[in-house]
Amino acid sequence: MAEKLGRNNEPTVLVLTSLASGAKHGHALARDIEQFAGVRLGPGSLYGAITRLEERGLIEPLPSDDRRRPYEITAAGRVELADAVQSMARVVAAGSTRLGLRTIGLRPA
Amino acid sequence: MSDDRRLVRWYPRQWRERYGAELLALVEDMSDDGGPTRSQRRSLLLAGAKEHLREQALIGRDRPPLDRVRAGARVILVAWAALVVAGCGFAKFSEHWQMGVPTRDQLVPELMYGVVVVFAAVGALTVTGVVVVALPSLRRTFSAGRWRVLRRPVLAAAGLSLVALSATAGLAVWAHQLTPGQRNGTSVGYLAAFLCWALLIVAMVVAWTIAAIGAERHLEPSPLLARAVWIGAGVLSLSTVAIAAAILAWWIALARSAPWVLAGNQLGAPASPWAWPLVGEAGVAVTAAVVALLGATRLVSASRSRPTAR
Repeated sequence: MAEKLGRNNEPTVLVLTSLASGAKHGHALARDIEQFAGVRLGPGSLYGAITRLEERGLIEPLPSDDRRRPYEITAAGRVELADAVQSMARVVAAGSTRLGLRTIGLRPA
Repeated sequence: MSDDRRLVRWYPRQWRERYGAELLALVEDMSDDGGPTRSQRRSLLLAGAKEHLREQALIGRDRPPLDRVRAGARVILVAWAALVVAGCGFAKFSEHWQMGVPTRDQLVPELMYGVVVVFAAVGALTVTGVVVVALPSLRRTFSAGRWRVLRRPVLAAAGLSLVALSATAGLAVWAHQLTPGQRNGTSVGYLAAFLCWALLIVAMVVAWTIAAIGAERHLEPSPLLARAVWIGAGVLSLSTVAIAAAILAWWIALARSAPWVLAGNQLGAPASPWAWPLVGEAGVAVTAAVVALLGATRLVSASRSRPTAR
């Protein structure tokens, strides 16, 4: 794999997270991401992320007669997202512990 | 071009064909009745520029390392071409500079001028060397029927070179019939001809750079050529940085010890060190050095990475 998904506000991670709950087209993705992450992605950023993810086989387009083509996450995309979420969760756990906040359950690294 | 299509004009054609309609539908959905907002337009412009850079393997790590190495080398070649143009201007500007500088103040500018000359020669020899090493690959490329693709840029560059050569000869003959004052600005006709000649030289450098980049894209490099391109690009980027630094140092040295040389005034006359031709030439040289460093960074980082699975 060329690049690891990293920061939680990376458009690629946000798109994968959104698609983890079901296939969506561009506008539905943008609204969902704004709802769960509070991040308003511009059209350029959103389609940049979709391009990268499709190139890497992490998402795939579904057949559609409409210009609003939906995308779904692939098995490889789920693995990659799980990896990214675990990585972020470890940071969250460490930060929470060090700040004296309640920690969350994690698999070992 | 409709306003919708105008919105995605910043993207590469291949990208537009695949995603353009979807992206426009998204923009429609995101926009109020007033059409796309300024921030949406900015997002499309930036993302389109990024897609172009990705397509050229200039950013991102999703292209094979060899593509990224070649992209870095192309950037360095473009930087070198810009430096050649700036260097020609500098050579004209700095003509006879020693005549206006006291001997005791000549050491540093002399040294820096020497650095410019030496690295210009190193760069020219490097380009020539890489072209010589590339000749067998070029021959194979032409034999494979790709001459048709390269014909137009190569013939344009060769044609411009012939015109430039003829113009140089004509200008030299004319210059020898003029007084130094006429050659340096009092003859309006000669000044106009000189400016046209300078534009011709710039056009020739640009044309050869386009032809070289076009040829490089179609070459199937041998291991020897790949190594030559890597080494050549490294030497060219180093030469570009050295020349830009030396031009700046030469300028600073003369600004401190003999600013009248920069202003074209008589020995000892007060003068500003901000000579506008030199500002332009140094500006282009420094920009070329920065671009060459970016190209070299791309080259080195791509060389270190392993081939990526797609």
